Amino acid sequence: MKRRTRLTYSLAALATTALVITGCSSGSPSPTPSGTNVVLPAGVTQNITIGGFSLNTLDPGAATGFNGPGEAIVQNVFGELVDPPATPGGDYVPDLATAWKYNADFTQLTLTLRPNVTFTDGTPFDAAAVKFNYDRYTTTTSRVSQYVGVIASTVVVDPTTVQINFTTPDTNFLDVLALTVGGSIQSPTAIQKGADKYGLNIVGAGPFMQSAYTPGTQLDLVPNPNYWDAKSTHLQKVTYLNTGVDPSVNYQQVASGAIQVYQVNGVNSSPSVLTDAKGNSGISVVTTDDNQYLFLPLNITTAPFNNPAARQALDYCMDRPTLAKAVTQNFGNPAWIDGGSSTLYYPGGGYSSYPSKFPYPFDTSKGTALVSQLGGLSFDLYNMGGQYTVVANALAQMWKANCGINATVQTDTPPALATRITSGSYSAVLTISGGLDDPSFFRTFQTNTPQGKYTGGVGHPEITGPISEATQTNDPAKLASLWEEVWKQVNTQGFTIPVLSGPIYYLQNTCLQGSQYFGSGATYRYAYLSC
Amino acid sequence: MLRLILERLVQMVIVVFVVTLAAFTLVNLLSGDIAVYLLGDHATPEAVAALHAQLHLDDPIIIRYFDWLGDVLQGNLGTSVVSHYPVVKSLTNAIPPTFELMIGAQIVGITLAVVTTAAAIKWRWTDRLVTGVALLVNSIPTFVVALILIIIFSTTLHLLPSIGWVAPTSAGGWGKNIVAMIMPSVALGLGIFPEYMRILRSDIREQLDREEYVTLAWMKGLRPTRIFGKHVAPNSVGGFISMIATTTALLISGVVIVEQVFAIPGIGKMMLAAIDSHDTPVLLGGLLTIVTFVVIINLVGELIYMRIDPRVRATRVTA
Amino acid sequence: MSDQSQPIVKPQPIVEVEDLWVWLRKRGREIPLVRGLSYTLRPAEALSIVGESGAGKSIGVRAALGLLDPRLFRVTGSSKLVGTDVLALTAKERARYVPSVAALVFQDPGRSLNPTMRVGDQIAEAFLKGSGYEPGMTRAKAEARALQLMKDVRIAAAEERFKAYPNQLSGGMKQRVVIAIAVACKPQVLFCDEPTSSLDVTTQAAIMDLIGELRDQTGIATVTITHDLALAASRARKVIVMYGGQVVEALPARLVATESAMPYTTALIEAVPDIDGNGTPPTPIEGMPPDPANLPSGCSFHPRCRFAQDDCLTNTPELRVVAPAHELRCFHPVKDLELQEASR
Repeated sequence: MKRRTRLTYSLAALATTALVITGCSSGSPSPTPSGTNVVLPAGVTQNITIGGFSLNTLDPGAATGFNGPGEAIVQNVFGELVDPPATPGGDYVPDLATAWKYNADFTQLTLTLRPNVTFTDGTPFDAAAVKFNYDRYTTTTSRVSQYVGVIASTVVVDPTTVQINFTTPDTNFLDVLALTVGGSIQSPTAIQKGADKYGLNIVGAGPFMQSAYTPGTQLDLVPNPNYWDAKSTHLQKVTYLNTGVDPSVNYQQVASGAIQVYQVNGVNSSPSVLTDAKGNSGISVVTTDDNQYLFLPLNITTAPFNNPAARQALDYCMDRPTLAKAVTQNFGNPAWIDGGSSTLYYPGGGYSSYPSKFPYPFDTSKGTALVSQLGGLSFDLYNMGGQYTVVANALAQMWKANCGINATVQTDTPPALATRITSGSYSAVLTISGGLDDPSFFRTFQTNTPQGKYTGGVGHPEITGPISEATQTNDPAKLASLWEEVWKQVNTQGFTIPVLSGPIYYLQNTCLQGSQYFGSGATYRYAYLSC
Repeated sequence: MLRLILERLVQMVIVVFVVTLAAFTLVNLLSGDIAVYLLGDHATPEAVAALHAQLHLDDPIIIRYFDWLGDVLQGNLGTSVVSHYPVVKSLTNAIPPTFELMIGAQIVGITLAVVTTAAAIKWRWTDRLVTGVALLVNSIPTFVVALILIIIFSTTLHLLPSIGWVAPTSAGGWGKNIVAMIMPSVALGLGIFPEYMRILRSDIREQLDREEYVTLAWMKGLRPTRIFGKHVAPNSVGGFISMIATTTALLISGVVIVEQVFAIPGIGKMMLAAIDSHDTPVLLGGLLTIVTFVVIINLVGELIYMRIDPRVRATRVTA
Repeated sequence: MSDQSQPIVKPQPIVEVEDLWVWLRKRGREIPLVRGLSYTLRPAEALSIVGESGAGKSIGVRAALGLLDPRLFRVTGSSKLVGTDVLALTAKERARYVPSVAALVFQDPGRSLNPTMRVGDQIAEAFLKGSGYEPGMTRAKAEARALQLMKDVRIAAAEERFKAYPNQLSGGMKQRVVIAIAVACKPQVLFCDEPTSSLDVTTQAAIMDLIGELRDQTGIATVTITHDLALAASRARKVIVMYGGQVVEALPARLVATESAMPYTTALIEAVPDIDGNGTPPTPIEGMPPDPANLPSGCSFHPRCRFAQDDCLTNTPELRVVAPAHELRCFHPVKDLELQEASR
């Protein structure tokens, strides 16, 4: 059951062609703590433009149209119930919720809400509003569904106290609140009034509010004067502009000062703009945690990958460090598990020591022997185009040269690929996933999706068992041993083949200070322009 | 003339019908399951089924097409299946930038073509130079031209904005709007100028070398400017105008690219996004606009050509 | 000398073309189109230049008027129009001078008028903006003169046609307009490049009559290019026959039927129905005119000549005087004129 989640997770990325969840930022400019006085330079208009986004709807609870990049945007409007820990493993930080408490068996979370908060339309931000939102998220399929599937019910205790009951124990729900749109609390009045057009005009209680929006083109946010921490918000206007998908164009837009922020994924973007940006003194390259990863879900229900030897051959014949250098110029890293080097509970003693313990390390003679034992290995390798095709071609060449494996690279549109994976009509797909350091988070994505049965997500308790246990404990030692077991099983069985991992890089104008990149969000509530 | 207009209007209806039907069919045939895509990975089969029903995805394409057509004939272009934004509103947002971009590109293309043609006719070495330059420009993709312009004029010199659209109603007014339009217009105009120049240059060359009325004008003792202005140029204008009209249709593909690079919220960008998200009503609304526009431009071009050139007028009248 | 109609004191020549050569520049090569053309013309004289297409007749006339684009053609020799060598003038000087002394009428009247301008305006333009300008000229005066000219060249309903576009006129009518434009600036010589070959027979005669009348009335000299030897002989005083860019025979028009001695000229006569009046059916000339880029050795006409002998292949004949006002470029003339002369 549990194993399925990982493919599901990748599908979320597939459907949006972008990241799902962004990890805690380690290298970002140190967030200005709330309340700290910033002396704003005179004569600088505190307006910023963020490039690259195409937004069709702003409501993460909408049945259709809300995409991955949208997560990074709407948190500026909705704020967060709790903020992520300042350092990994630290305490969560109060925000719209001032306190929280799990019950003993992790089946209930009680939140205390900040009093006297209203949405920007005047509707009270209270326990009833929170209940309204979670009831909505759990009854309609939407972007948020994947995060809140564990919720059984939401109960209003008093206007500032709300209880969230889970169907199974869940130690990760604070992550959902802190790092994903699963924590988006929207104005019930506005949702009811807006009906199917609500997504064009969203209302929250966060640091910013919508001032203008043209779907697919531009979103303008202005500060919410009634935000509980409004004194810490410095930007007068935040514009999200659809500057297209081409990284080199967007790099020039940052370099020319037309936009202040552009996001580049370390594993699915051409590394050339990163090289350019590193050499540009007007741009700071903010590196987030290495938790984006490219991997190959294999269809183990049909030939050739129903045979373990075929799956092992792919591993033996793949020289990951060489690949990382060739296609990412080392802006990405070799991946040995379905996660990046920042992943918590990394098996085998950590990222640097694990490769020697990898069950099927690069070995062309073993790989060649397996291929000849199989009587040859040929399959179609599907991908979404762009840099995915570059990586897929490099992989195919590597397999061919090292072991005579014939992988035919096939490019599909995202919808076609999503349909292909859902229906199991594939052998191997190169796709992306990741975004969080904590592997337990995968647990949140256990829903009854049809695709799990093709990659061992169904009927393999040796994998799904420990994952399930990991969601019921907060004990680091126990978590480490559980995950050791999960990775051992996953890599030995070879149901999915990890390829590369890397961080998200934010190309920022050097004048921009105080942006915060964490979870699925990028918030600018404390950001300001220093020049 | 009235008959010509009627003829073209009938043609337009047919073209619009064929193009939209083809687009409708392609959009609905080539993709995966739109409902699966729109709903994301966690969609329950019930939700997928519900969306199928809501979007009538299980009806035959031809039925759905005629449903759409019926709505259009009643003046209803529908709303985006993704954002629920009315298509008419999307179009009103997207038409002005695209229109301005095309006008700008035509101004750049025509100006460059006229200037280079004049130079090419006047001196032999400039002829070689401008034809060489035109060939070079023609071989560089619009995308690369646009990027080079941004690198030179925005990133390096900080002279021009690289975001190509500022609404004239915004604080900067028309001044900012026009400044922002300079680079996109040049990027797009450079793409059409070589063709304009080629046609214009060979047409004028042809007249100068072969047409006896030019020799006769010379034999009348007219000044070169008079010969050019009265006897050469008027005979090139008609053909040139009808070429501008035909080029407008070819500009559309360049428009898509330039709008992407310069972040111009025009029709090209709107349609590209619609294709990405399989937003059929938006895509068809855009197509409908473009096809109508192209047909009308061609008609206007033809009418101007007729107005200018009595030969065409005569054959049209007698035909 | 035997031509008694010529006065004792000859007036100054209007046209003196001397050793005119024209080369076409083509991919680094120079192809000779006209090779040493010379002729002289006095007031009221009529000259016809005859030959097949490609013989260099048209290009020779355009070269003589300084009309050829120096980027495409190289021209040597001299072409004096009323005493001034137009080839020695700068382009600017030429553009002012040539239209004041010479005019040109073209083969295809459909192409010689600007289709986008009313015909009246095209004539009036010569008075308003061209060589026909005089101090005190106004649009009204220019239009009145243009209208008068249209009447002079016998355009019926001239007032109405004044406002017509060229495409609304017949071919003959258009040619009359072209002639009106040509004579508007009172030139002293009128070059006509196949002026009637695109017109029907009756119109042809009318146009030729009109040109003849103009000559008689104004004393204008005319050079008419034609491929029709019969027309040339009947409408001119002197005929020059060109072949392969050279003059092959020059003789008084009245002697064409009887005295032509160059086999090419006689072949042209046989190709024309009934010029010699003996009722024989026309015989077309066999073979093709020579390619200027690849001229035959010796006499250019030898490949098509019935009288050619070995020396015609190797030696190049010079133009020589064989009789008074009769020149010939041939080793083996059809008639032995010198012999006749000697025996006379």
